[in-house]
Amino acid sequence: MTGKPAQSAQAAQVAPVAQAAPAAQTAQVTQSAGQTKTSEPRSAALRSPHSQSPRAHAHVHVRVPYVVRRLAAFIVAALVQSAVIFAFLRMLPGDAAMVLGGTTATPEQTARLRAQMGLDRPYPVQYLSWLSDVLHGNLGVSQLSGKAVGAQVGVRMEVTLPLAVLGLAVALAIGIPLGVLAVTARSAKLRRALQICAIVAGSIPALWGGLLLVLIFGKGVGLLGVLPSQGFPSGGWRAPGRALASLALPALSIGIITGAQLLRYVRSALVDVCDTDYIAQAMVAGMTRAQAVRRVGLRLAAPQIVSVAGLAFASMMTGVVVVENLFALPGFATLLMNDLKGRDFLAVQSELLLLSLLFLVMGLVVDMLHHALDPRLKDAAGFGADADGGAAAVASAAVVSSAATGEGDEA
Amino acid sequence: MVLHVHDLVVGSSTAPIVTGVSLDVAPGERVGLVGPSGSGKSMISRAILGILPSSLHAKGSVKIGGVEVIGAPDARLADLRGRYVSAVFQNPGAALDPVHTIAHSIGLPLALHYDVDRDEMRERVLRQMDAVDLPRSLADAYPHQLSGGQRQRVAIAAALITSPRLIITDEPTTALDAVVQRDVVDLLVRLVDGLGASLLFITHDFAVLRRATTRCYVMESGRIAESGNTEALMRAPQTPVGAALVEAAEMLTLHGTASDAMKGGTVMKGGVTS
Repeated sequence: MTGKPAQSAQAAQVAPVAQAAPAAQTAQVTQSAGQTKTSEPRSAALRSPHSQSPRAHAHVHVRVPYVVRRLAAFIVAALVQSAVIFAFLRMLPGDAAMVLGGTTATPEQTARLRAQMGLDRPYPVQYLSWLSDVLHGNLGVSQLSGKAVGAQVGVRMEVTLPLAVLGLAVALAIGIPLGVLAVTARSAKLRRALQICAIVAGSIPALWGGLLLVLIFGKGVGLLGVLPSQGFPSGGWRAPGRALASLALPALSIGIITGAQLLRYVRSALVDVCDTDYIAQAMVAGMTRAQAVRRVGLRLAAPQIVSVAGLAFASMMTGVVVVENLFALPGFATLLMNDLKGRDFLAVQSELLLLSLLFLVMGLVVDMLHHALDPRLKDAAGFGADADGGAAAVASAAVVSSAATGEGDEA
Repeated sequence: MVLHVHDLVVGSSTAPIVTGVSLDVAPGERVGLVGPSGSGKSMISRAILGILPSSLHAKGSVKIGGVEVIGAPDARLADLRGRYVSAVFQNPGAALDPVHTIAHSIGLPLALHYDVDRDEMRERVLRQMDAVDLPRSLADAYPHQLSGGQRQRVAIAAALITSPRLIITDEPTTALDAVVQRDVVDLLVRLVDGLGASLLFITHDFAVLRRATTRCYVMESGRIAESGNTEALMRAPQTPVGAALVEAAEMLTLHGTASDAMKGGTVMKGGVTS
């Protein structure tokens, strides 16, 4: 570290206390520590109210591992979401038979079409049939296009998933370093400027931000004209350079806005940590304030930042619909919106289920990262952790509902 | 002087918290700073260490080992902190890094200031744990797995591992029960004396102060109200605030006065034991 004195650890100034203490004291201390070592195993030395309580012997606590509890919650949440998605879509007016029949079809023709598509069966039968197919890896066939839903989703995810990953990478690359700088910069003007930039950039609509990027960087239309602004290569990722270039502007569009929001979040989390004794203790040990914020504050704020980044990634999967339309990308969000407009309920419900599973997986990953980042959670009771999972499920359900009602269009 | 504070003013842009405080700590001396809650004691310690909250600023002069602290660059202060001057806070549960082991927390000042390889670092940390009567088996435990008294011992071990010349303790026993308070104070005094270091002991409890210091300053509303020998001040306080604090220390004594408790080894409620 800078300013570290070039002196050996053997120097008198760093002599351990035990050496500096009188010999008799040292012997006493050593003996005491030795006795503790032999008579008190680590588990007993650790504070453990349960092990000290006589009641602890009366009850046998079977501690289910966190991962198992979390996976069980995942399965329950997925089943609940599948039921919610199915029920919610049936509440919407119209169905695929009406869309296919058009306005000229008689009620009898529509009913015949409905029977052919299996839409006249009772809802519970339809639900269980769909669920059984999904569990066997069959997402069904689009009632409008006649293509396998799984194959359609797979093709579209080749665009949307990398777009969301790139968008998140841009957001993290902007949000975390600038968020730290917004707290640690010596210049108050710079700190204020970063704060204002974050507020402005975070409130720009994706459509407007995307248009601005096209006007600056778009090939053929932009001032610099360096990046493609329309479409995705027909060969897909077989031409990785072109595929990546076609996703650059869309990823910047969503990444800059999300990054600005993340910057504000990181700044806010660090400001909260900044005046705590954790930072004071690190400074007392010999860190500058900036070092303490970066090395201790950021680590303490990491679980919250991971949560926000996880949710941002998940919401990008549906939030990219505007960007996909703007840049003419054949992505998943566009497919979902088209199927929703066509009342292709079988396709929509499978797509929404996949989306909600993605949200749940993100929640699972975030929870696991929380456990990896904060050792206190490993010893904590499972309630909080389960609550995290529940929160993720609720958030996921909310977004799925918003997508189903077409609110994503306005995003 | 190890520490020389002259005309220190600490406050925000709107109101001062500490006004015109001057105090000295000589080499090897144990000095107390006592006062009721809100009198500005903690802000003085933070101003001395250069770790005031960002909303506060300090004026005047604070010299640690002859180095002026007020207005000094943070890098310069960071070089002093943890090497020449160290500190123990009131609530180690809210100060020790919760995501690192206590071995990491204890060894951090050494790692930041000296070139020590991993094996030697481990050995130094374990020896330091011996010195503060912590079982070596706790080296890889996390702060939340320890009791309050064990955490405070970790904080003391971290504060003393580089053998600093000045240790500032800010209400180090307030969050502890009576028996642990006594043990922690005795441990602190023993280790500080063993190092030949100086101690600035901040507390609101005269009974604890008497056990830990030989001279003290009494604070009231951000100012030094009186100062002198701790024993003499407890016998005959010269100011209302001094008298109130001594009276409080005696009233908190379960059996007899604070001085009786100190001499006779009586357990004190909310104070110290002997």
